[in-house]
Amino acid sequence: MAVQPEVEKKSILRAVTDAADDVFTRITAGIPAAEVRRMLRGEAPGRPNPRLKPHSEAFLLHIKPTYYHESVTKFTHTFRLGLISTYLFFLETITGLILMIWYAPTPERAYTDMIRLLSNVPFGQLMRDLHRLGAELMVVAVTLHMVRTYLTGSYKAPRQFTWFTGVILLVLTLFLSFSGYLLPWDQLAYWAVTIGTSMAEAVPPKVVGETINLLARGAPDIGANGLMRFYLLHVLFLPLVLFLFFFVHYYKVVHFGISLPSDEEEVGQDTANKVPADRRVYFLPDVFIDESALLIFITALIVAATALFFTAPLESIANPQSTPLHTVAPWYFYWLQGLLKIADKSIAGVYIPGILLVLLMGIPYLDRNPSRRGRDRRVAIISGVVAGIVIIILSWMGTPYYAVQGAPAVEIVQELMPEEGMGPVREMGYAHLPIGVYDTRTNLESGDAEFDEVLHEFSVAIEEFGKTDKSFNEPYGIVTVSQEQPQLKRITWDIFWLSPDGKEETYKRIFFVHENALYWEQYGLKDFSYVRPPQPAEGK
Amino acid sequence: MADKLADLSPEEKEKRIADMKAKMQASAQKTKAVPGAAAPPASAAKAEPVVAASAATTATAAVVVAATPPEAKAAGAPTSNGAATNGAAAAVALAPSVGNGEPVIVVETPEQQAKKAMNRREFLTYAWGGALALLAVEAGVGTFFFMYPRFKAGEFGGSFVVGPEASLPPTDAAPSPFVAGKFWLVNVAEEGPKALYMVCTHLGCLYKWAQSNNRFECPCHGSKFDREGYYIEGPAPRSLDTFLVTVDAGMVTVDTGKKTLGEPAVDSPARAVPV
Repeated sequence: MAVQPEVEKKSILRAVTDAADDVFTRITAGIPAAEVRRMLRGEAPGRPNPRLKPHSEAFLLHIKPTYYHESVTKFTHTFRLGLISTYLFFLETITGLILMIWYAPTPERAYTDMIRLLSNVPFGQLMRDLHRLGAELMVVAVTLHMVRTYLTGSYKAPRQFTWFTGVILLVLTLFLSFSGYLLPWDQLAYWAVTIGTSMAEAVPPKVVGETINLLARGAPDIGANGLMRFYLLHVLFLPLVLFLFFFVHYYKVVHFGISLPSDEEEVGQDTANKVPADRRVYFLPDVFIDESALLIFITALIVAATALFFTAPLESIANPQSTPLHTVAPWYFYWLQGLLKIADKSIAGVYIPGILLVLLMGIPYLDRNPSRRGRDRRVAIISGVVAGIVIIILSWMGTPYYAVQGAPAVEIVQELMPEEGMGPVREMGYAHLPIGVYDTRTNLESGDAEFDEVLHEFSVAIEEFGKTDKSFNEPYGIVTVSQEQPQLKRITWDIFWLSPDGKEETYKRIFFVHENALYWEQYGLKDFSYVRPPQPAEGK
Repeated sequence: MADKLADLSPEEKEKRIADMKAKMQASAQKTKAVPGAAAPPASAAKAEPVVAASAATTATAAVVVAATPPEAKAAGAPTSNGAATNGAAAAVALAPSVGNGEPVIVVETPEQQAKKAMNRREFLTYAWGGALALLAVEAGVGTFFFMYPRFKAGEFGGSFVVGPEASLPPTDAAPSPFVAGKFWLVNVAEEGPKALYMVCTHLGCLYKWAQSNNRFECPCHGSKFDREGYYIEGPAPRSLDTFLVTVDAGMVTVDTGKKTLGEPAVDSPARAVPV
């Protein structure tokens, strides 16, 4: 571009602005500044129309469709769940990369790295909680996306392979979430993953299952090798595979187009890609602005929820010698844990999930009904709803309240002051633990309203178990709160009862609560009351 | 005019193309003659200008190509609702009655464009863009603080408490090493304690204290420094670097995060004069 003749033809200002516009057009792959302005104003494109150029000339937009059918841009048609799932994966990648700065996957360091992140790194807790919340939301989003696709029958011909890759993506998402679960190296992580890999061990034939288990753990038990392998899975291998399958999936989605609402087409027709000119909504600028606005809104919501409400849990450090009471799988595997409680390890852990997975993948190939309309698919929809209900019931069965009850005394104390986690007593806090000895046989008045509630719960639970459990007769309990050190209180739970043959039995547990320990309620409003304004020095 | 161009026979095709060309030239001339006039709704589909020109006059994909400033403002308001009405509403609002329905293509000049005032949609988009940019900046700043190393007391880069002032060695004693903090502590008469960085200022080796010669000597290239860290001889460019030493309420603290470079070797008071 010869400068001198340009400057001579027009003024130097025009030459510079034209050059700037030229650079701008190159960066935007064909859209000059004036056209951007027209797009933002909602005006028609200039002539010739450059708005499709970024799709054909630039890399980033080449997979995005240039236009959508008007009917599929309606929010309630897809709820944009596919977009939301992809965005959450992107969010997880970013927060994950950031967290990697302060985390090393060795048992000697992992837990202290978590503590350091949460207490000594600026924005460390925010990043960790964002990563955790994003992971849980991503599992929810991909599941809802699958449910929506099922209910609108969008998996039918010609989109069967898209559904297939989608199921693979679902499995990858669950594995990603599960492999990340181990990394904090606390009791919750360690034992949940031990259960998971033991399920892998149950894959028949025996030699295959045991080999899979050893490969995953790197040793007979989960230790340094296992942590490293899960870290590599979580950080490298699974994201890469998910990336690959995502692009196959999305390419197919664009190739066939998003299926229209079923009442806009004839049964068996698929005109998703033959959009008449008057029903087109172009990506630039309309759908682009729409998608951006949605993602901005979701980001704001997630960050606000994390900052104000959500705290990811961290239990005590992993102890391979001791499995805590009420050990649970992550919530999206509750259904699996429920199954494990009612059936043999192989059947419940391997065969049933395996068959379910194969069935899920095979739905589009088994479903011969060409209609996407609800009224023509009653069987499919009802069986989908029934499947959902079954999963929910199995999930409830996976919680500790079903069929894993220990001895009454153990359960009573676990309810009020669990081995891992918070519970009502720690929630109350140090200030609400008045020193004294409290016996359930006598009147329970401690002077503190909240502690009285706990005492009441304690005596009610003892009574209930006393009535229902034959081996737990004439029970009573004593709670002792004493000052162990200037800022440390000791709480002793003693439960006494008579066994069926009249012998006196006891159960004792001791816990400590420190004044500065902060047990924030996981899903409640965060308690910032510990932050006191600086007190003026009073000649202390 | 319902047939697509591709369906016509070659002669008809040529005739059609000639027709359209003539029409386009006529309308271009018309617009040139009346540059300020509002354009009637032109019918054109997006990516196929040739075929589009033959579409019906009242095609629903009405595209208004240009508008003079007053009409632009009017167009701005109706188009601020509904992403799907990609310009169709603008066409409706504009509909001035040049009802011969001929396709007119008007291109606005850059001056006309630049003069258009911001409409609501544009303003809001800029506002959102600004908010997003602010978020990006905040995220960047947050990430920076997240990533910045945290210096702990007792770790190199942080502060080391040496001890009470009274426990300092006498002013003629040998320097004492503090390996974790990477400094030698030497008590200088009339100056107080000095913390010398253990790394030689030449190329980074750790020099040693040679008791017999009462000086520091670097084993790598032979740089020599006196007890107080001043350069004596050797290839080193400057005297030893020092860390900030503070005496706070009787306690001596060395801050290994605050390093002062040694003075250039040429200015060193202990410099050996060549014989």
